[in-house]
Amino acid sequence: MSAGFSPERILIEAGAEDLPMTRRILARLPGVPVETLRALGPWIRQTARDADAARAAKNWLVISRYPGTFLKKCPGTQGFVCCNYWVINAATGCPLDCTYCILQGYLENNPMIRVFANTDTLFSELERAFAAARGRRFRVGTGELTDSLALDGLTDLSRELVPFFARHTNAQLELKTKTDQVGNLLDLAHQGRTVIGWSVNPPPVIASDEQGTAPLARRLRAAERCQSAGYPVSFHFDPMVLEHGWEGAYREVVRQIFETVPATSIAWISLGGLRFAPELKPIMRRRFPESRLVCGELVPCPDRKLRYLRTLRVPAYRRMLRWIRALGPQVPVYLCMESRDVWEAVYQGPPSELQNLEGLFG
Amino acid sequence: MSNGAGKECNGSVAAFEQIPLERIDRGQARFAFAFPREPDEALIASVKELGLVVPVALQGPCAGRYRIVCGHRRIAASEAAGLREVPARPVDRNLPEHTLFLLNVLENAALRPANDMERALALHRLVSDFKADDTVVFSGMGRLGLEPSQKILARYTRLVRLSPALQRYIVSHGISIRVSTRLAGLPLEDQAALSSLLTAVSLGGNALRELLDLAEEIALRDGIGLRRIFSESPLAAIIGDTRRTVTQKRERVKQHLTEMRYPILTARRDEILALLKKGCAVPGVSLTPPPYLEGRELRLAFSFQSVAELREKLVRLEGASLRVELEKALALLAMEEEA
Repeated sequence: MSAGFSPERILIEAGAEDLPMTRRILARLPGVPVETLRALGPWIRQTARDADAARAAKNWLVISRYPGTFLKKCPGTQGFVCCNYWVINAATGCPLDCTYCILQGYLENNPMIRVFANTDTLFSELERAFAAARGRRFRVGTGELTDSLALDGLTDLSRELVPFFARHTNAQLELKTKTDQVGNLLDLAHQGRTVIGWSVNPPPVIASDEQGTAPLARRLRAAERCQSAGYPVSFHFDPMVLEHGWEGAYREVVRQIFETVPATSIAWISLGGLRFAPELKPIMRRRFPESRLVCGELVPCPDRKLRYLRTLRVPAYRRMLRWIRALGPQVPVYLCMESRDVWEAVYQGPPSELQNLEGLFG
Repeated sequence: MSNGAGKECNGSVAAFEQIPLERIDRGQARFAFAFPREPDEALIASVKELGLVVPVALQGPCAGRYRIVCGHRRIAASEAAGLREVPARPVDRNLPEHTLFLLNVLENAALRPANDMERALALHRLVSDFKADDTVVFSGMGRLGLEPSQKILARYTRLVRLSPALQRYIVSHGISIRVSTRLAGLPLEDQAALSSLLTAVSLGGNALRELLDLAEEIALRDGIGLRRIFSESPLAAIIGDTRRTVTQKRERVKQHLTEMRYPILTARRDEILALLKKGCAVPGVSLTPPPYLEGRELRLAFSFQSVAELREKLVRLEGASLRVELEKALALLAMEEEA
């Protein structure tokens, strides 16, 4: 089992001192220096100026109250097909360190891992949102700005979220992770309304570009444990790294997935090629100078993100779809942040017209 | 008019006096950091016309010789202008050396803004030569117009790793500190190869950054050094081609590196363009695929000045629409699967 996160320092923003989650985190981290901050802004500015922001961002934990709205529509990307996902940002920052992570673009302003401990506000908000739209189906994830389970050993947030979603018939939770930290989940009454998802890649990509994450074998073992506990599971080939020889490596991952869990337990699989904002490239090159991720034929797309050429992405998606359908013909497979053109080329139609995707894209 | 002759090492001096150039140690540069070191023609001309208006600062005399604290370039300009003596103010010989150096930094800051190499050299000297502590270094950074921080200090002191040729280049072309720092991280052999290229094509900041991006990514992908990319054919042939202008060379270098960096895109785009050229050879009509082939539509553009001209072009376009090459180009863009 991969080690849980243990910060070097804890900073508690004023107003978050007496929250249950705060007390829980502190109880689990005896001996870690704790400091209370009246305001975060000056501390962020000083850290960005004087400290190694990248190191702070992986090792310093800030506990705060979130002042805004927790539940938001996934921002997606302009002009591309959207799957109507919702996100809860109960934490920002991540102890894992992937070469392609978008969080690197915000290090100067957010040199920390930040947990929002006012979960009473979170659940009140979710209660109101789900009640106000009973005819709508909410598919909600917590992994937009962090890994859904990397901090769970400290926060136990899953032990509140999973039972909450179990009580709501118009909402489904997805906890998406690159870890194998599923211990908190196995005894929860989830009612099948929580999907545990794993981002997956071939082992060489994980070793070179997903530092601090669980190896593929451990992720799949964790998926097996969750599936045995009755959870639907999902897999996300995102980002796909289309380097020379990618076909054999990815086909093997597909095979291992279907060897590990029955196809009927797979809620969905998503495919997404490597993509990032151009501003991220110099950061990636500076922080990971040996990584070859930036060497692919990545070109600007209409939403400004850099992606592999269409002539590389489309055949890759087609092959992945064939391999997955050969082993799990009923498993919904969708593309993440792709254009209508690419959907047409891969599926010969938009997602809303595809039978087993209408639930995701409708 | 006093020249300070005969004064002892610990003698008092007047506030401001004329000192013969021959008594000044012009070769020593203990407190110098100006870059380039040589005075420019404008300074020499000004001294010729007006004399030296701003006095230099000298320490001494010691054994009859003066050491320059402030004004190395002014003294060199005075010598070039044919002056035999210069106005100078004395500097207390008991001041620590890092203070004397800061005095020079301060005086230069009052006269003109420092360029990035001067900032780099000044900070490097404060840290390495004068072993100044953080307080002194940060004070110097403030005088040089920099925010005092370890990060910025590290960024600037890195520039001393640049080859002399690239040091001159970044100053003469106003290259940003970010790009300059990247150049300073290159091995010296790569810097030398890049210098030769830049001499031929003379790139500004953004163009240089783009060139570095392309070249470094090619180098990382292919496991080769930058010097191989810059110094081997066909780039070597492009920059050595005396028939091309600098602008043409610049364009050609960029095109070549882009083709090296994106071989699949280049091949596919060339294939589509060749089909379009064959399939739609209508004068004055352009058919272009989307940028980076991200999309399946072709763009058609033409102009006309009369209805007759419009009709003629439309007739010819209708003929072109029946050509198999056009269908093939569209099929490539649509990524139709082969049966």
